[in-house]
Amino acid sequence: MEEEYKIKIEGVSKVFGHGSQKALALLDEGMPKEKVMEKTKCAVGAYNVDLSIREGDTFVIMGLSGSGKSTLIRCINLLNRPTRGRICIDGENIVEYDKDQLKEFRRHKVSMVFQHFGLLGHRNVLRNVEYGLEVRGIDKDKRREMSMQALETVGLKGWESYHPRQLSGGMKQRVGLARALANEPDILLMDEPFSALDPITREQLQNELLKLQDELHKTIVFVTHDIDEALKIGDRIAVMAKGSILQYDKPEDILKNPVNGFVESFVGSDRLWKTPDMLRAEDIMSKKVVEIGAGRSVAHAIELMKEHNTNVLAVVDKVSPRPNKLLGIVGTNRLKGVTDHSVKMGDIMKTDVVEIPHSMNLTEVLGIRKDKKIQYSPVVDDDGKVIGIITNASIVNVLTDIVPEAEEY
Amino acid sequence: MWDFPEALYIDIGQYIEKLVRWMLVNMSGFFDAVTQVIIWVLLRVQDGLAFIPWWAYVALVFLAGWRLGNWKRGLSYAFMLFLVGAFGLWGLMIYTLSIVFVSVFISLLVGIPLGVAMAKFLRFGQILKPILDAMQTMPSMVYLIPAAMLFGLGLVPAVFATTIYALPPIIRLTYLGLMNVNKEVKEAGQSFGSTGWQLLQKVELPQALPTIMTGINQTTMMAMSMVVLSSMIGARGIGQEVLTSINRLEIGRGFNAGFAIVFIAIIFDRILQGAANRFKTSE
Repeated sequence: MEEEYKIKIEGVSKVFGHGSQKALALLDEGMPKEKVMEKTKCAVGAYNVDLSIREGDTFVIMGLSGSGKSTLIRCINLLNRPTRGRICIDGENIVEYDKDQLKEFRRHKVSMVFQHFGLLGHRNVLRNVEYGLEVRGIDKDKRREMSMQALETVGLKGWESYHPRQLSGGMKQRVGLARALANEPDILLMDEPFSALDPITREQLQNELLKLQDELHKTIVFVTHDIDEALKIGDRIAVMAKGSILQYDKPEDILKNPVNGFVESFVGSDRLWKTPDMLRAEDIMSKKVVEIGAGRSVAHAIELMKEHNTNVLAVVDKVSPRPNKLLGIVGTNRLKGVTDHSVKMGDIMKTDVVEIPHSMNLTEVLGIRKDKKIQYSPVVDDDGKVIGIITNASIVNVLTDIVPEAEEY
Repeated sequence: MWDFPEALYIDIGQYIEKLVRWMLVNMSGFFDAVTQVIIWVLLRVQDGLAFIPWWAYVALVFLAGWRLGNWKRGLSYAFMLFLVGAFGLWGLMIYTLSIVFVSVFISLLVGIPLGVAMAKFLRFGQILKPILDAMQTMPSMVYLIPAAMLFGLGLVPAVFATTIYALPPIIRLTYLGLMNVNKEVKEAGQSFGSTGWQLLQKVELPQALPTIMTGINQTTMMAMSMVVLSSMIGARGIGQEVLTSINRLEIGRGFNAGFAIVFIAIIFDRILQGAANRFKTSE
């Protein structure tokens, strides 16, 4: 599905300095980056990066400083010209653009928001927001109208005639955002836009960006070094280090399955615990489900429990037309009082079980279990088939894996 | 045998002399035209400056000092200017000022584009930098010789020599100002698809303005010091007084003229610096 992607980055490398091609050749031979830098005096910003960014996604590039994330995002509007590779936007390779095409591309398709705002100190707020429209040659009344609209969108109505120096950091970045939005681009590039702000303002602006994105559906490429920000904002996250992409995935997949130790340490082993929304029912269930047909006897059930070392059985329909459909569950408590070991499962099973969809998140699962005071919650897949069971024990097991190891006392 | 052998003597000066002589012969039409233009402009400026009554200058300086600083400063600048008049040097000061203004104007006209070119074409900058160094270290009086040869004696060679001498700081600081424009601000300008000219005019030059203002200040100071010397090639002005008092060993007269020059320089410096700071704080 080629056309599904708005931006396709293919084999992009950026090496700064003279002799960049030579440095690239050395890298291709497998020489480590540090050695190449030392030998050629070139700085390797990004090496063989492949990324596909879907239209309307907020795509987060995350990495420490020096990881090449800012280099990479600057390739997307050619503030950095890739030393090698293709960047296709709407199917056109922008690296091959000539001067005029590039100008038009920057004027209409892509706008950028900068870490330190990049505002023009000699212009007031309105004239800053107008800048992009002004260089396009849009007439004064029209661009004023569009800029006022953009300022209203970011909540800066009434601040038009102030100068950037009179504004707080958060407001400056709103101006930066309004300036980018005024141009009505398809793609918004945001290079650590909230890093220079205090935590409270940062959170506020993150929320506003999320809200804005719900309405605008721009394709956003967002660079950050802050994992919390990445998880909050990103539909997809790419983790970068030393100029290469280590992993790119949905946020929850990065948390659950970090590809290597670096990503794991970057994400933080306790991260999942701090963001319980990312834990799904399928992550906290015990996958050991022992099924028993509704027509089986108590004796059989006791045997099964012993054999599988479990104290709960899922009673399923072994008779067509609905094979393996969950009917109820039987725990040890239900068996205790029964003296007649020939009683069928279908008669003593607990039938008012709450089936948990596999994608329900931890907070909701815990809520249901608390409200309904239930001990065993079977987890079903999309077809209604039981794939696991959540018990107090399974929750504890998962949490002990996630929670950082306790300090020793 | 410890002396430097005469056989190895090289005379660089002769080439410059040849060049100047060649220009004199082959480009006399050009220099005549330049002379005509400069004279015409100078006379207009002189007329204009002389048309304004002395107390208007004093009031203007007071106002400028007051607006850019406080009323005490305004008052002290006004008093200094008043003293120049009281020394009996007002008329000569007008001559001096007209040379300074015209020279500074030409310097800016030539220097700012050169500074821009240095910043835009780094190779050009690398060539120009040592030339600027040489221009600034060269004893200023040396400029008087070719100026006098090309333009004769009087006001025009004075303007020429003063312009050449005052040129380096404005070039240098324009260049510096442009090179120091915040990288992100420049990137922001580029990212919106500005053309090179739009970027220069709407982003870079306005951002570099405080530094360029400092350059204008320095250029004016250089012009002030050169204009005094240029009286050696017959330019009228306060420098003439200095020259006369040297020749006649008239200490009092010399110091009167000296102080007058110092006062004018201080007034220029403070007012231009105040203006530059105004731009800085408005960032």
